[in-house]
Amino acid sequence: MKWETRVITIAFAFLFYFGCNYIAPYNQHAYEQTTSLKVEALSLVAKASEPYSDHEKEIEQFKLRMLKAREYARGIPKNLEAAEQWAILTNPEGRSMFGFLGFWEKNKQVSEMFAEEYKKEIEKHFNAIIELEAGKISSGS
Amino acid sequence: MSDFDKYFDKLLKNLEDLMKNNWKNFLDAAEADGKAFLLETKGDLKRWTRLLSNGEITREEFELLVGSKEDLLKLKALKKLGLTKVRMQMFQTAVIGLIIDTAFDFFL
Repeated sequence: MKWETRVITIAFAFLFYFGCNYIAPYNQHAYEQTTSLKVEALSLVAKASEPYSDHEKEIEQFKLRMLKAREYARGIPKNLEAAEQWAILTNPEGRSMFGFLGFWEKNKQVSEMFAEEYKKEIEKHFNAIIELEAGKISSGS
Repeated sequence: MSDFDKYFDKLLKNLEDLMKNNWKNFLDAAEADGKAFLLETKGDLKRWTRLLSNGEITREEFELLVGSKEDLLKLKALKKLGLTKVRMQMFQTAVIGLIIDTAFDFFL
């Protein structure tokens, strides 16, 4: 190979490789943390037809773990999408996990059918975060 | 035509093939995902309106369920955006490999 070609090829490669790293690499801890919290969330939603006050301590501990997960995601560089997803899940004014917990607290308890239906929805909410993290594995980043 | 021009022509051809293979499946999957979401939402809304009219869920519960779909849509859009970035990163790595492999084919 001519030296000019070699220089151009290497320069091109370096430009591509170091020029733009678009997203944070796969993070095993974030993945495990999210799957674990999903299981806890589904278990809590299933109990929402019971009085909120019976589960207050459990809910507070769960909320704390969720907030820790949000801060962890926020602290990872180039992790904007996952951090924004966590912000949606933990928004008390929203219609995701924290919004649901606020609704449960306000209404003391919810109907069994609603809890059953909402459980299916919240599973999809967590899955969106899990699938994004898992999708990073294929990039080998 | 110099060796470098031939190399560059070959590189462009390989790059075109790579782009077709790399992005077509991804875009097809995104389209299928969008259609599946709409179908699924239609089924959910049908069930929820029935539960509401039967008095099995309250109006506030119905509103929260419907609202959760909007949040789900945002969560899915963020996932799609993130996965597009992952795909760009993979594409970038494949382009580097292509540049180097094509150069080796031509000059070594």
